[in-house]
Amino acid sequence: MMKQDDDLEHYDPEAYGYATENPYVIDPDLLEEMHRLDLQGRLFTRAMGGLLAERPDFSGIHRVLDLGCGPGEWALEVAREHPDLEVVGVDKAPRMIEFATVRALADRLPNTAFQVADVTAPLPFADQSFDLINARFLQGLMRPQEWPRLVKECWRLLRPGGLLRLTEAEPWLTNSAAWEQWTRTLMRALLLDGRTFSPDEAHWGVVFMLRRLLAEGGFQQVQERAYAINFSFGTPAHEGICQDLLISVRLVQPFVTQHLSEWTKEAVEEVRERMEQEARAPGFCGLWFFLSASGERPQQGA
Amino acid sequence: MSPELDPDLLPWFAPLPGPMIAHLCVRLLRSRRAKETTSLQRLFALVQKYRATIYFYMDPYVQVRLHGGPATVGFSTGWLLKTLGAQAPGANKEPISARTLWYWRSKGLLRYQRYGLPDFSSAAALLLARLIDHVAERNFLPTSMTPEEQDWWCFTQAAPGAPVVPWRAAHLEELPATTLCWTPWLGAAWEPGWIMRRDQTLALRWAKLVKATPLAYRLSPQDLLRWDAGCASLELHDPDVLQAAGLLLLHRRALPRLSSLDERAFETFLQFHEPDRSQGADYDETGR
Repeated sequence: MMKQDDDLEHYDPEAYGYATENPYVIDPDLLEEMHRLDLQGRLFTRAMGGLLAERPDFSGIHRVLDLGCGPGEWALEVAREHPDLEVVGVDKAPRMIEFATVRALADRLPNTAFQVADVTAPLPFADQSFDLINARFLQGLMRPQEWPRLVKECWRLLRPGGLLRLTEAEPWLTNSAAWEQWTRTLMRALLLDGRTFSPDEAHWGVVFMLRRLLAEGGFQQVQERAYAINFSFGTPAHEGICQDLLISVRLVQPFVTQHLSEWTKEAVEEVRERMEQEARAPGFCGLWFFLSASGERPQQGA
Repeated sequence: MSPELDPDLLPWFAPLPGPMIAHLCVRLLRSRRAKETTSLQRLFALVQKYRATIYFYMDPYVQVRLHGGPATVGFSTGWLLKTLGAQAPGANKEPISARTLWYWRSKGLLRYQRYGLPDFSSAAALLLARLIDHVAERNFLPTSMTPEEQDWWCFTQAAPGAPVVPWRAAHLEELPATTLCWTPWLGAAWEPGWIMRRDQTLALRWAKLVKATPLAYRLSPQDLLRWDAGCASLELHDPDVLQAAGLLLLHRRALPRLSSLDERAFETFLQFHEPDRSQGADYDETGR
C-alpha cells in the first residue's frame, strides 16, 4: 500500500521494493519511437481540442516551455500558430533535441529553441522566465518522488500569473483478453521499477495525483479537464491509437523483460500479434482516459 | 535485379531496389517462424510501416540541405553513418565506419549525387533495410548491386486504361511525356519533378520535365485532353493554364491509385502472381 503520509517529498519508493535507476522505458534513439511520439502527440492534441484548450488564444503568454518535448511536435505547432511567441522545448534525449531543432530550421520557425535537459534535475533557465509550462506524458520519465521537485522547479521558472499544465494518462481499457494481459504486464513492470503511484499493477495512478501535486506546489485556480479517446473498431481513432500502442509494445519489450524475465522477446511478440488480431475484430472496444490539470502561479506570495 | 523477382512487384517496395528486396525476403524467411505469412507479404507490411518512419525522420534534414543549409546540420554522409549506427541492433550506437561506407559504395549499395552528398533515396533504402532487419548487426544488405540494379521503381501508366507498368524512377525521361508516374515513397518529392499529395499518401509526376523551378512538365493540350476531356473548356494554349491543368490532373488521376497501394490490394496482387510468390520464398542468399 502507498504510504498514508501526505508529504510526497518523503515518499520512498525503495520502501516498497522499487528499483532506483531512471532510464526512459523506451530507447529514445529509435527512429520508430520518434515517429510514434509525433503521431501520438498529434492524436492527443486533437483529442484535447487544440494546443491549449485552457487558453486557446494564448493571451498573456509570451514565452513557453515544453517539458519532455520529444521530437518537438507540440512546441513546433505552437511556434507555427503563434509566431509572436518564443517556444522552448527540452528533452533528455539528444537525438530528439537535434531532430526537433532541424525540424524548426526546415520549417523556418526562428521563434523556437530546443535544448537537452533532464526534467528530473534543475533546469537551465532563469527564475520567472516563462508564462506557460506544458508537460505531457512525463510518466515514462518520472518516478513518484520526482514529481513534487518538478512542480517546484516549474514554480521557479514561471512568472507570477504563469500557467503550468500537466497532462497524463492511465492505461487504456479494452474488451480484448490480449490487450488486458499486456496492460497488466506493463503495469507490473512499471510498478517493479518504481514508476507508478499505484499500490498494484491495476493502473499508473498518476492522473488523480496531478491536482494534489499542483496544489501542494502552491499553484492556484487549479483546473482539471478529463478526456477519453474511444478507439473501438470502426471509430476514427481506432487505427491511430492501435498503431501507437502496438508499436510501443515492441519498443518497451526490453524494459519489460528486464523486470519480468518470463516475458521474453518471443512472448511479447506473441501477445502483440494477438493484440493486433483482436484489435481488427469488429467487436473490439477500447477507451483511453487522460487528464490535464493546470494551475497558475499566484501574482503575489511568490 | 534478381531474375526471380517479378518486376511488377518492385514499385510496391520503393525505395528499395530489387536486390535489397530479394535479400530482405531471405533474411525474413530465416528469422520468422514457419507459421508466418510469406516473406513477401511480411516484407511488404514492414516496408509500409518503416517507409513512413524513414520519410518522417529524413525529411527535415533533407529539406535543410535542399535549401542551402549547412552540411553539418542537414543530410550528409556523416549524418547517414551516425543514423545507421544508432539504429543497429545491440547497445553499440557508434556511427558506421568510413571503411564500411567505402565498401558499400564500391559494391554499389549506396549511390552518391555528388561528393559528400549521398543520393537521398539510396540512403533511405539503406536505412529502411536497417530498420527491417533487426536481427543482426551485419548482413542486412545484399553483397553488391550493379548500376542498373541500384534504381528504385515506380508505377507508370501511359494513358487512361493502359496497363500499369513498373519503371525505374531514374529513367522516366524514356517514357512518353504524359505518362502518369506514382509511388508510395514520399521521399521521391525530394527529387526534381515529383510532387506530393497534400495528404502525404503518395508522390506523383508526369514523366517528362522541362524545368524543376518553377515546376513545368512537357505537356501538350492534346495529351491532357486524352487524360481528361473536361479540360477542353480551359484555355490550354496558355502555357500557365496548361501547367496548372497538368498539376490538377495529376492530383485527380492519382486519387484512384490510393487504394491500389494498401496491404489488401497487395495480397490480391500476389494471388494473381502465384508463381512469383512461390519463387519469392525460395531465394537463397546469392539471389539465385
